[in-house]
Amino acid sequence: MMNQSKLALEFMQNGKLTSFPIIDAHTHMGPDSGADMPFSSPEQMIEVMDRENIERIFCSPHSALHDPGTANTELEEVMKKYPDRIMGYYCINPNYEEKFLKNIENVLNVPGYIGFKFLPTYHRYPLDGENYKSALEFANKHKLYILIHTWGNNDPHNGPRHIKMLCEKYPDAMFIMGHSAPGELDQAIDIVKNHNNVFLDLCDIQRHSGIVDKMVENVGADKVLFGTDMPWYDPNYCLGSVLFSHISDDDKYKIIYGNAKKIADRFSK
Amino acid sequence: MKFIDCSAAIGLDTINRVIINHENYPVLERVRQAEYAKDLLAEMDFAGIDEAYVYHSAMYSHHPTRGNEILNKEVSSDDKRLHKTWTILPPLTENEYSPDMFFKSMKENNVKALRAFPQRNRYMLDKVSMGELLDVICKKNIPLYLSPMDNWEHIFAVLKEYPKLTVIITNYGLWGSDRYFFPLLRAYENVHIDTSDYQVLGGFETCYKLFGSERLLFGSNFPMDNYGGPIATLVGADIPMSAKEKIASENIENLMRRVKL
Repeated sequence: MMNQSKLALEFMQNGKLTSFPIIDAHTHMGPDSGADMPFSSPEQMIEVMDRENIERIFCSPHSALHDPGTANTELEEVMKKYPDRIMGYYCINPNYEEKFLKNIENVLNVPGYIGFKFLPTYHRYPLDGENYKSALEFANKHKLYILIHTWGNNDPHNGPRHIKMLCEKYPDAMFIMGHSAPGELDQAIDIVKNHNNVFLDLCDIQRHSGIVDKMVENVGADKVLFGTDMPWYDPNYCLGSVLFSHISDDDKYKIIYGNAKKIADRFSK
Repeated sequence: MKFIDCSAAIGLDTINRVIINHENYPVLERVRQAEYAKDLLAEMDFAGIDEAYVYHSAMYSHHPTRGNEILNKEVSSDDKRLHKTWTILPPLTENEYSPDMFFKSMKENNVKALRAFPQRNRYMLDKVSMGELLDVICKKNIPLYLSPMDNWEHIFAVLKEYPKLTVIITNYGLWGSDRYFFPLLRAYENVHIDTSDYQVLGGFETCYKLFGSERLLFGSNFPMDNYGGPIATLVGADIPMSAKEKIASENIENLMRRVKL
């Protein structure tokens, strides 16, 4: 193997990363309709985190995303149960704006929240719609993070062009482009290059050949977050994509742990 | 651990590149491709991959016969690291695929596995359209790579007619597909899974528990996938080392040993 990254060699020897832990900035929890997920309960995910040296996850459970009746209650229960391991994004379903905005102060008052999660395509509601406005203003006022599902291929709900608009309109909010807009990664990269309040996310898109190298080469490792969609996907897959990229071990550290650690520390105080 | 990649591509795709997220849901994203064999070998060397079963992108994006010919020029028949796989078409319309000529040519070129893209090339992968080829492919234990990128029905259908067919399911997208391929693994002893897209959390562990390790073949699906992801998913899986070694190389070696050219 010509890859002489100490971190990659360590993983190949031990079957996991041991030099430092992982923080996964894009996860879910519980079952979902599209696939069998054999390790999706909170307990199973904690077991995986222990095994794979994952210190924390930033999570939005499927129940919050797809069951408006449950909304964010499952998330708040698991953040309470595992305060050192699970932090969360307060999901906004814009089709039930009033119901979700009713408890928006929880983002400040319930320990563990770092901001919001928007899932526009799945909610069939565009990012520039009125029903996201209150949450965006709230995030801007309190300098919160918003993980937004983004997709390319001219997606009418959450393409890079929507993110560019939000970055400029809400300069104090911090945006994470979930999946980094597959199909329009080049446009996503341009936005991150030109705005200080937005990150790329490795979730899903890291699997393609050359993507991690391309991201770091263009925006630097400080603007890239490690995300896996767990329990959809094994975190080792994303980890391997980073460890077998051509970037330095220092940059790998930032992506796998350092960047998200700064976020976690700010909201753990 | 020795790694043999069961499926990787050489060559440039017409559009770089259609990538399956899950069936009927492609993503168009620019990826780092391997234009020539030497480029793929460089990727393999960096990742520590010993050998690979390869196809040429032109087989899919241009024409199977052209792609097969380009691959022949790119990879010699006695190459120790890169092993050729060809793509088939119906013999009734493309005479070069008539069994008498085609299998002789496979032997001369040391090609031990085949691919079929029935939707792309617009034919039915069944006894009516492909019987004369499929009968021999079965008899000779030649692995046939099939992708459910458009749908799974043709894979279920051909296995109903040819339950002994050796099939390697590849390029199925990153969404968990256990609900599709676990029943196939249970019903048909010669169905195998390329692990390149197999990244569902707990997938290796569950599959190993149900079916053992013999049915999984390490693969990269390069360049739709990179090498690091599939390597780390296997190395980090909570299954015995002996199972990992089988998946990494031994299973595909055994599969290819069974081929009677």
